[in-house]
Amino acid sequence: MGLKRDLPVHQRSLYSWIFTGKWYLQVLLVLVILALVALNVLPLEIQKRIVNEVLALGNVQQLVVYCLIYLLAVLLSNLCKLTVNGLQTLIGQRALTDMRKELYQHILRLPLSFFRKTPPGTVVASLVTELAASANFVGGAVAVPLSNILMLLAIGGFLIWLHPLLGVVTLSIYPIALLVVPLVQRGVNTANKKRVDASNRMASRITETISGISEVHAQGSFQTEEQSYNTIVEKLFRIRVVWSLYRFGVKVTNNLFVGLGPVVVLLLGGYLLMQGETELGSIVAFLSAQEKLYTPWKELIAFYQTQQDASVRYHKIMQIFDGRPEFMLIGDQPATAPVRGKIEIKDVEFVTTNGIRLLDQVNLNLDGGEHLALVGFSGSGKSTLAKCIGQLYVHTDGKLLLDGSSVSEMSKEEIVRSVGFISQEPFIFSGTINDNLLYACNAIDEFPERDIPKISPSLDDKIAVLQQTGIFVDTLRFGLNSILDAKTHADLEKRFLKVRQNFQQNFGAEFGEHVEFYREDAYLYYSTIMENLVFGSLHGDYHLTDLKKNKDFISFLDTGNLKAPLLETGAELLLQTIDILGRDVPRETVFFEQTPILPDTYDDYLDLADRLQGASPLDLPKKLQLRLLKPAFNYIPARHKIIDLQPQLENLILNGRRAFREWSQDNSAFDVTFYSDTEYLRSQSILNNIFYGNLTSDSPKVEDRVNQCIVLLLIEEDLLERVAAIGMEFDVGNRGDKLSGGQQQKLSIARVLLKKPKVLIMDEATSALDNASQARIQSLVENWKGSTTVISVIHRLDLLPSFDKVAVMKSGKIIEFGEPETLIANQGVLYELIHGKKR
Amino acid sequence: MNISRSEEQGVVILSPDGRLDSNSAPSLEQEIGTISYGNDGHHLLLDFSKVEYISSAGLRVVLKTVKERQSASKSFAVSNMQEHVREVFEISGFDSYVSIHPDKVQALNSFT
Repeated sequence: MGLKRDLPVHQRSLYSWIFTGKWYLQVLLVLVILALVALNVLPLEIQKRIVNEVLALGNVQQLVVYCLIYLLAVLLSNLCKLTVNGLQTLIGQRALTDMRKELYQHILRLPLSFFRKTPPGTVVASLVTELAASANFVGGAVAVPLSNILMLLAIGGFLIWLHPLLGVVTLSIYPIALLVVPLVQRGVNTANKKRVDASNRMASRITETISGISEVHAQGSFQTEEQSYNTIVEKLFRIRVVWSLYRFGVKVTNNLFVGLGPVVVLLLGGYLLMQGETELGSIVAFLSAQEKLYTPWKELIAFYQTQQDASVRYHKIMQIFDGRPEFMLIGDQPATAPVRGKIEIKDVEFVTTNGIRLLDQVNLNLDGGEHLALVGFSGSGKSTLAKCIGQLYVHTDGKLLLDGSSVSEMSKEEIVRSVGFISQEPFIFSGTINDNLLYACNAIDEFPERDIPKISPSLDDKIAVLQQTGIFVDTLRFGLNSILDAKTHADLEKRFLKVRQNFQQNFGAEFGEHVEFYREDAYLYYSTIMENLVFGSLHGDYHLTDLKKNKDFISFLDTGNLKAPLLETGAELLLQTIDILGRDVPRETVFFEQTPILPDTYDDYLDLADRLQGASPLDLPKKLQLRLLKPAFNYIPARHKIIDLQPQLENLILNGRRAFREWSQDNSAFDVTFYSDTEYLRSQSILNNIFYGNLTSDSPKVEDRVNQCIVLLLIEEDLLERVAAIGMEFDVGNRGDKLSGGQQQKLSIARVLLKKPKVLIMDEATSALDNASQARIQSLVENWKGSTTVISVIHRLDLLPSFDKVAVMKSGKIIEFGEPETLIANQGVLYELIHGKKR
Repeated sequence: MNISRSEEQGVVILSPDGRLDSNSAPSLEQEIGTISYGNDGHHLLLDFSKVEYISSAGLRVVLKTVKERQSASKSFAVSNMQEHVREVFEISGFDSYVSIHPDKVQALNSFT
């Protein structure tokens, strides 16, 4: 078994999984099965005795005893069956889990060339669907054949013992079935192989289309995609029908043979009984044994089908994943970080499995700390060379040395400790910014314990790379927009309150005309009436909108003499809106900026206005009153200039604010945190807590200045890094879809810089960034001359002067190599690339 | 952190090397403290060309220096900031308090 375990997973046979894992479960299973067989034969004997002895003698007591024994046997046998099923499931599912783990481990390490030819859909279908059939087989691999063969032998033996001639004739049907059934099964297997292929094709087609869905939308190629999908689905339909027919064919063939059993017993048994060569009890036992024979036989045939199915699928899957990793994960020698980062490339070639030569006799030497630019036309092999140096591809010939060691023979651990590879297409994993930032460092730290200390970057390390790559400001903004988790950051609430106070003290005067700070005794002209009234935020799943519809709240308004003036305000807003906009105004936001009535609800309000003709709002039915209250609740005096805020209403609302506070404390349905100068608002973002007011200006300059002041205060209170850390907990979404393309690329650069590699390979790493961001990263990298070896595939030739060396590539060869100034002065190929072809 | 000190045209130039974080900020603060800004004192230039990272601790030292020297006869400037360091100065509005120069020559000229 030890040898088998060492085989790569794709070379293991299906049968090798039967005893891997918990062998004692299989043994236990066999024992339970033996008990089960015994319990199944017992009723037959009891039955015979009852007919032959008890009924003849008329012994009632004996009859009851036998029946009880019969009943007990049935009970116990079912209990055993339950145990057998449980054990089978356990063994099968365990084996499936192990298979899935080992196969996934194997797949992840397969060379990148494998993934170029294998669509992800095939990998998904194999691991998720096809492999599952193996569990059924492995679970029953010992139990089913053993139990059923034993059962057949036991019952068969009993029948032969009962009446040898009748027994042999009855049993002779089964060997004939054994000859015919496999013939039909062959058809099942052929169809099954086709089905696996077609299913994989379907899975691949789906994943390809879904991955390229934006291209499908861009080109409107829905029908093209549907057609190619439909073709596969139709083909799968035909294959599945044939497959199912063959599978039923196996069952029917088998049933046919088994159905002959009772006929033989009746014919031969009846004849023998008439001749007086057997007794009635035996015939009854024989007929009943037919039933008992049929069950194990049926299960055996079903298992045979399971085994064939699993075997076909298993071999198909393992065939797909045939291949070996091109590198060792962990070397025999303890991994050490390279000291210099010197790179020697001699006669390196790279030929793909299809025989395409991507690198041809490449020669290149780079001293530790030197910076090399790889330039050339598309398809010239720049990226391939970069990938060979990073061990993403393994060169097929020549020497490629890093500090004297052959890159192809270095373990993955050694490579990732020393080489940082940043690829052209950034890939951001789901999780937080922090998760993505630590991705490369954690990978290194997860290698087995070494003498080398773990990288575990500090908060300052992380912030430094965020600043270097230019996503610090974004991260800080994510932090400021976060709602503080009171449990984990309880200490911060007071400190942010301090920042709020400082903001008002230091900058209150500066922003006097641009900010309306929250004051308990002042009306907020840049907030809605509702916000003015509540002057706080609701907890839990409640929002202000829920309150607006709440019966208790409406009756609170009524008792507080607020409902009538609010209804009147609503009516005034409505009539003024109609008066100014007219009834036929286009239902577009731009026309509705000065009114709290939303364009898509305007028609409803026109109807409401008709109902208001000559009637008091208080006479309206309750439902319409609620509708009329809505614009009043949403009325922001400074924005909705369509009417003026009446001083009486302002006073009423301010008084209402105090009344609401008392009311809500008695009304436990709503938990409200009231705005207070001395309290942190837990349901609001950090920014809102610091700012604690409304910005009254739309000018971006004012907003920038507010942000600057807040950052300054955070620095003074030593909170800048804490807020950045909170921002790093921002969830980037599936594949980082909550980040922009630029942010994704910056983050993917940051995670490599964080591990401080000795050799940095950048494969057009900044291509998704704007010019300023590219230049920023370029000037950052330039600072590392002499300490970090850099190999950078670049398209922007204006960046060349900052490199020590440049290699110009064409058709897999380096056609020019040297210092950029020298090459340009020589007016060779590089010169042509920069200035266009010489005339 | 290594802070090298030189003097040119009556200006003391401090060049911190490496990361200016909560560990190294106190030593910069101490070094700055030795340069007087009274009538007999010196102008001060922080050459940031070798500063890879500045945390809020480092920024507070800069801010404190600005405040101390604001009303004094000897002024203070920062030069040669790497772009990502300069960005931190910008987002906090530090660049409006601190006189920042792209290189040493321009910084030295600003003192005269």
